[in-house]
Amino acid sequence: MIDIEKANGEALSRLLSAQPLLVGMGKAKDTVPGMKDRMLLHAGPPLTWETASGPIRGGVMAACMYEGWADTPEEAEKLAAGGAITFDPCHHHHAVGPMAGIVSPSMPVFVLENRTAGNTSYVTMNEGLGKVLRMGAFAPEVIERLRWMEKVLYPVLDAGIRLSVERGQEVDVKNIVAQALHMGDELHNRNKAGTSLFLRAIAPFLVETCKNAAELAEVIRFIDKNDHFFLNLAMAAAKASTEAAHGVEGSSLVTIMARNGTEFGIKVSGLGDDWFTCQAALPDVLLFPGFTREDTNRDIGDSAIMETYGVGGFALAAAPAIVQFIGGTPKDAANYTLEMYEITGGENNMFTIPALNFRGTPTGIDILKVAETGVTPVLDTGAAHREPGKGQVGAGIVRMPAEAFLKAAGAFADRYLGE
Amino acid sequence: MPSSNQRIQIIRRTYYDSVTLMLVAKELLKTEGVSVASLSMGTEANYKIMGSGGFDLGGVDATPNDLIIAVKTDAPEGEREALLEGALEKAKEYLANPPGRKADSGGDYRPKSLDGALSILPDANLALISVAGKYAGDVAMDCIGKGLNVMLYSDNVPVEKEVEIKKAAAEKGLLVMGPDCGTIIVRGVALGMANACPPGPVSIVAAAGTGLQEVHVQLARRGVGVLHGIGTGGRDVRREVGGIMCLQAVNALLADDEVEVLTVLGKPPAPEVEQKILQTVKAGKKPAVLGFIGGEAKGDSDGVFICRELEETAAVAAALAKGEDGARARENLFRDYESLRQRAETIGRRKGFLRGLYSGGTLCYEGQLIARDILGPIRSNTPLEKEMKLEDSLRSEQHSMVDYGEDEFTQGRLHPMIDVSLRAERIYEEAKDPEVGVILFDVVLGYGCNDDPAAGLAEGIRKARSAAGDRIAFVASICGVDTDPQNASEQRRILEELGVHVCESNARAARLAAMILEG
Amino acid sequence: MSVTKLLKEGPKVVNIGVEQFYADLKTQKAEAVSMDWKPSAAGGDLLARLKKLRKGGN
Repeated sequence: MIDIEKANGEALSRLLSAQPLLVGMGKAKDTVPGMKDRMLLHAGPPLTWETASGPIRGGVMAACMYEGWADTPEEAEKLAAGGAITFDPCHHHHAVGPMAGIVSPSMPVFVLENRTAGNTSYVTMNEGLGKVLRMGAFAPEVIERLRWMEKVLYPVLDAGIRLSVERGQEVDVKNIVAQALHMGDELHNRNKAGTSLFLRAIAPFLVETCKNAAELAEVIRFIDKNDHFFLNLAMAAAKASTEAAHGVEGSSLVTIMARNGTEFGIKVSGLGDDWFTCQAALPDVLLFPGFTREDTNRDIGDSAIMETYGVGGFALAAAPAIVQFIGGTPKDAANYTLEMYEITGGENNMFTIPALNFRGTPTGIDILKVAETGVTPVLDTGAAHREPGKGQVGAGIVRMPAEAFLKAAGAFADRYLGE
Repeated sequence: MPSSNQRIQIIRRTYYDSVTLMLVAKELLKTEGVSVASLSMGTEANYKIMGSGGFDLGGVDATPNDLIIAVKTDAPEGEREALLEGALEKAKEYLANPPGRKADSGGDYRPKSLDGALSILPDANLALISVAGKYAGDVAMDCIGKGLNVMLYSDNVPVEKEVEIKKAAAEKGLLVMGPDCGTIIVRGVALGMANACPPGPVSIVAAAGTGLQEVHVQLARRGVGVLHGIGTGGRDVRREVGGIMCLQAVNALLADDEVEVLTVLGKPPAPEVEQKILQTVKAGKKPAVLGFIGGEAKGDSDGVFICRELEETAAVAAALAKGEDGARARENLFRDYESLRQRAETIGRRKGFLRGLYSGGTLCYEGQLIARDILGPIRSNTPLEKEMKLEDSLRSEQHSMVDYGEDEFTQGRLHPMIDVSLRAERIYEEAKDPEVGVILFDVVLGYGCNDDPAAGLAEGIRKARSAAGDRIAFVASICGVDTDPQNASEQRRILEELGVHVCESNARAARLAAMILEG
Repeated sequence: MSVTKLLKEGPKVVNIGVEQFYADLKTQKAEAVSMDWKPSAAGGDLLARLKKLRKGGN
């Protein structure tokens, strides 16, 4: 019979030894494998327009207008409902997307490469807070911002990144994650330090390559005002690392956790390409003024890749500044991290937590441990309005539902017990 | 249609331990207008208990994995609805944040898995398991798998499971103490329900929880301490289990240089098991006392003393530990017992039946043995002979002694050493029976026990006294010492102020109770 | 023998169940950790199969 411990050791070692670097940018249609015209990528496991939640629909409508496939939200909705658009999960294309996670063909994406295993991952640029596509908003300002990102932000960053690659000084995203953890980020709901560190790393190259001082200032101000700018890069780094851990025969470690606003789904290293899904959780988060729990959409986004990677909710002990999200004390935050050690295959060799005597973050979720203990992964996440076009309603802590893990554990037993 | 005076809500697939549920129910009862409150898992036993609590359970389909919250009110009709609704809400609030428990916020991390616990305490050597019986066996197996010795406080563990666990443990050289093992002492540290006595030269292997407590306490009163007190659970020395753990523990203690006097305690083992124990102890060349309560074995030999009672066992062991003559210690003790007749005379003879209400199983057993020799047959839910079994444990007949620690009373409920309320009510019930002359009970102190059992029993005793006047004499023993959290002297004072005749040991209390009815 | 280790070292306890027992151990200054134990999320059948899987793997 298969040696699970050994297999998990191998998967974890692949995850931990990954070395994701920022190696380039490009339009999704030219860069992301399998991306086609009239195709939209989305967060989480597969869905159809009929089952899509509000924020996904809103994001799809925004993307249709951004691409010029439709002029009004109504037209966009009709188009999407009419079957003219192909929907596919980001994860099927080595990509990840926060919240709705919509990637359309013209959107610029970052390209990360895992130097250890050679695999690549893709992610869009973060739009900032407030009314944004990823939260399901489609107002004119949303489309305008996306256009500016394509026309100004993308070329400026792209030139800088090229130079960094030419010089052999690619931005080491994993290294920034490790440092940010020591600066109060947990890299899911707080990316203030990570964003600052990224800006410091890329700024010299931008200055060297951008000839238009006004545009350069715009770009730097945009990144500076968006505390979450680094989140997307960190997610792509997580994706490049966890994907490397996928496909180890006999491993019960999770390589994908993702939500599409309707369903929660996971993939397991030793269980091939199958998604194991169940209804997504309804996050009970801290709401922005004016919203109620009824406004909250079910859990959404590929950002759960951060917890799959061993940070985010798993590293809450590193982020005392956001304990108000969990309505408790720094000790409560530490307790969440301590709890996650009980369902993970190991401790991170690079991501450490000062408050826990520099213990490595809990890394490599084990479906068997989740099934045995009943402890489910904890995420700290944003929450979107359940209706399209309304945007973010709050942020806080959410538990992943056990059912997907139990299904996966059942399938794991089927496959490896050989009965 | 009149509005119902009860409300029952089922919360599916949830689990709380019985202590938490009891605490919440107790809190709910403080609400004005709530007459009965019950929170329990939907086991068959709990259905019965709720039924006898006056709940109409028609249509309730809870399984053992579901929590049943049930409340009853004696409020006038118009107020019922709101009151019951409020009580249910309150119950759920309490469950989210159980009363009496330290708030979770800012508290130490409590691991959810055994691996998690072992990552915090990597050199752990013992698991103390007190989860519901149906889970306890599997949890114990997991612990043995991790190389931990096990104290299995839980009861209601099937005997087949017990054998399976013990065999697995024996293979690894580990101890399984239990199931239904309430008391352990390791290097003087008390686990479960055990008394706060200093360590010393005697070590004990006991198949009996309160037997171990009583001997521990009696030794302390004689100035002799106990280093280890290893429980095995009552079934260990029966034929089905074959004394696996008793022998394992005896061997460990015989090999231990720190152990000067070995004591083995319990109800009489199965004959073949008894033989094995006797041989092993004799071969061990250590001064030893075998206290098989009510056993047939007689005659001290080769430095091994055979005793039939708990205080006797302690008296002999104490003498051996002090380098004194064990046989003489025993003679002195029994001479002392004779003087109890004088005390019975002073208290005044009573007519009628003896009713014993026990929280300690071994104490109840010993009480029956002693009283039987003086009064004749004693009926019980745990009788000396099958024919003497009470048809209904809740209804005494003639001379009766009831052990409230039996499984029938503890399924989904707290042990009577923690929750004294059932016995307090029963004392009053017995007093209303005009044929009763003496009520006898035990008060067991120590860690893990009710923090003021005398006060808990007091209301029942007061009501009993006012119902029966002088017709009934109340006799009790206190199994505890002044260093216990409850302070034995303080407990004694409370009982004596209520007119209870308090004795130094169960053997004395049972004798005195019987002698009061003699002749 | 592991029993001997227990008797020599004194109890270092994993408490699984009644919290009071843990509090009592702390009062006596014994080393102890208390679990927040709940029945497994997996049903009896799945749990049994997972156990089998674990045994086979080690």
